[in-house]
Amino acid sequence: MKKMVVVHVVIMIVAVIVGAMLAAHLNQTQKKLSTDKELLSGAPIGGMHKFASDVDWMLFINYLGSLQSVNENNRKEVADRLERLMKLDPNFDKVYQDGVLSLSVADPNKAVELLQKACDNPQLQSNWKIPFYAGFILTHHVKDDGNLANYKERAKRAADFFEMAIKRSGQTPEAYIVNSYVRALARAKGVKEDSLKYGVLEVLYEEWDRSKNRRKDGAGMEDYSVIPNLTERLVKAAQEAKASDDGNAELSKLVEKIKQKVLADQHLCEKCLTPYAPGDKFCSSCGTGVKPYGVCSSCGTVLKGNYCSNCGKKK
Amino acid sequence: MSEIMAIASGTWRKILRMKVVYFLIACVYVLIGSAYNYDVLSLQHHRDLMIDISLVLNTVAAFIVVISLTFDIPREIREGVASTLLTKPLGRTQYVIGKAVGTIVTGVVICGLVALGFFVIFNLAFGEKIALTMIQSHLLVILSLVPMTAIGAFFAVVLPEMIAPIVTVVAVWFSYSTGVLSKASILYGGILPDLDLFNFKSHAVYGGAIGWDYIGLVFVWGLIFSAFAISAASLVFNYKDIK
Repeated sequence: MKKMVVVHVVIMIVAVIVGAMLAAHLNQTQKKLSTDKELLSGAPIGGMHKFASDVDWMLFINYLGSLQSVNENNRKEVADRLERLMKLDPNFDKVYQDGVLSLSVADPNKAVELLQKACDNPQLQSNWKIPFYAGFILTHHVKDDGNLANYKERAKRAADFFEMAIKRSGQTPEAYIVNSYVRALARAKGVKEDSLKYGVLEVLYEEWDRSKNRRKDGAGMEDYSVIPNLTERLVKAAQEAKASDDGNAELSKLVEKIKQKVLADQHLCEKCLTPYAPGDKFCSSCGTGVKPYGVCSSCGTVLKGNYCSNCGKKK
Repeated sequence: MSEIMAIASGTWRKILRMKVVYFLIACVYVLIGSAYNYDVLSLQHHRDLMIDISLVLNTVAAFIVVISLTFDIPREIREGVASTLLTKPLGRTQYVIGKAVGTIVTGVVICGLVALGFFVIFNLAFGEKIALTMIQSHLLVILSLVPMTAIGAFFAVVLPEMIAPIVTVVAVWFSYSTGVLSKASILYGGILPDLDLFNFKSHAVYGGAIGWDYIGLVFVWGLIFSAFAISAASLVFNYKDIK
C-alpha cells in the first residue's frame, strides 16, 4: 500500500513540474500564434469570446435598428457597445467597417479613436478600409473650429491614415484613396478648400521633386513615393490647373515651373498641356498651333525609322 | 491493460448505444445549419457565425460527455456496481483510468461526428473548401477532452454525486476563462489546468497557421495533466470506503 502511495505521489510531483514547464512554453507559443489574446476582454466567458462577439454583434444591429438615428442621446451607448464588441473580438472587421461608421456623424472623434485601435491591431494590418474610414471621418465629419493649427493637425492625422491605407492596398490603391491623401497633405500645409487645386498641385510637385532626388540606378520614381503614377498625376493636375486658369498668379507660376522641370522632355501643348503625336501641327484638344517633331526635315513626312519613307532622306 | 480496456469499452458502449446521443447530434447539425439563415440579421456575417457555432457546440458536446462521467462514477459507487467490479482482480486505479479512457473515446466519437457533420454542412452551404485551421481548431476541441475528463474523474471520485458535476462544470469553465493566471507558472498549467491552451476558435474564422508541433505538445500537456489528476483521484479513491 505504501509503495502504491509513493508511486502516485511521485507521478503527481513529476506531472506538476513537467506540466507547468510545458504549459509555460505553450503559453508563449500561443501568444505568438494569437497576438490578439492580449487585447481580449478578461470576462470569464469560458473562452467563447468569438461566439459572444457574434451574439453581441447581432444584438448591436438590432439595437441600431431600434434607433431613429445615432445622436447626442444615444452615442455613448453605441460607443460602449462597440467597445465591448472590440474587446470580445478585436479582429472583427465588420465592427469597424459597419459599426463604427454609424458613430461617425454623432461622435466623429470617438469613431476615429476606435478606428485607431483597429489600425494598431497587427491582425488587421492588411485591411486598408479601416485607416481610410478614419481619415475620411477626420476630413469630413470633425467640425472645423476655425483654428488653423487644429485644422492643419487634423489634416496631418488624416494624411497619415490615408498613407496607411495606400500602403495596405498593395500595388494598385483605389484612386479616391490617393486623391484623399494628396488633398489631406495640401490641407496639412494650411491650404483652405477654396485654393485646394493649387495646394494639390504643389503637394504633387514637391513629392515628385523629393522622389526625383531619391531616385537611384534609374529606378522608377514611383518606387520612392507612396503615390502611384506620380508623374501622370502631376501632368493631369497641371492640365486641370491650366484649363481653369482663374488668374491666380501663384498657380500659373507653379505650372510654368512644372512645365520646365517635369515636362521639359515631353511634347505638350503650350496652352493646355495635352501631349501631341509626331507630325501634329495643332493640339487635338484645344486647337492651338504646336511645334511639330519627329518629321522629315526635307518633306515633312512623319519618320518611322532612320530614313524617310517618302523621300529617302536619312534622319 | 486488458482490465482497463474492459472498463473503458463498457463505458463507451453504454453511451454510444443510446439512441438519444445520435438524436442530440442531429439537433447539433440543425443548429449549425440554421446559422446559414442569419445572413440578414448578422449583416452577412453568417459564414463566420456557422464556424463559431460549430466550435461552441462541439465544446459543449465534449463538456456534456465529461459531465456524464461525473454522474457515472458516483452512481456506480452508490449502487454498488463499482464494489462488484472491484471484487474482481481489478485495482481502483485501473477502474478510474478505465472510466476516463472510456469517456475520452466516447467524446472523440461524438465530437468527431459533430466536426465531420459541420464540414459537410459548411461545404454544402458556402461551397468552400475546409481550411486546415478549421480542422485543427476542431481537433484541439477534441483533444481538450483528455484533461477535461481527468478533471471530471477527479471530482467524481472525491465529491458526492450531486456536487461533483457542478464543481466539474465550474472547474472546466474556470480553466477556459482565466488565461491571465498563466503567469503563475507552477500553479497554473501544473496543478490548475489551463484549458485555454486548446482554445483557437478565432483561428478557425480568421485563418493563421497553428503548427502541428504546437498541437502535439498541447496533447502531451493534456496527458501529463491527466496523469496528475488521475493519480490524485486514484490516491483518494484507494482510501475511500465504498459499499
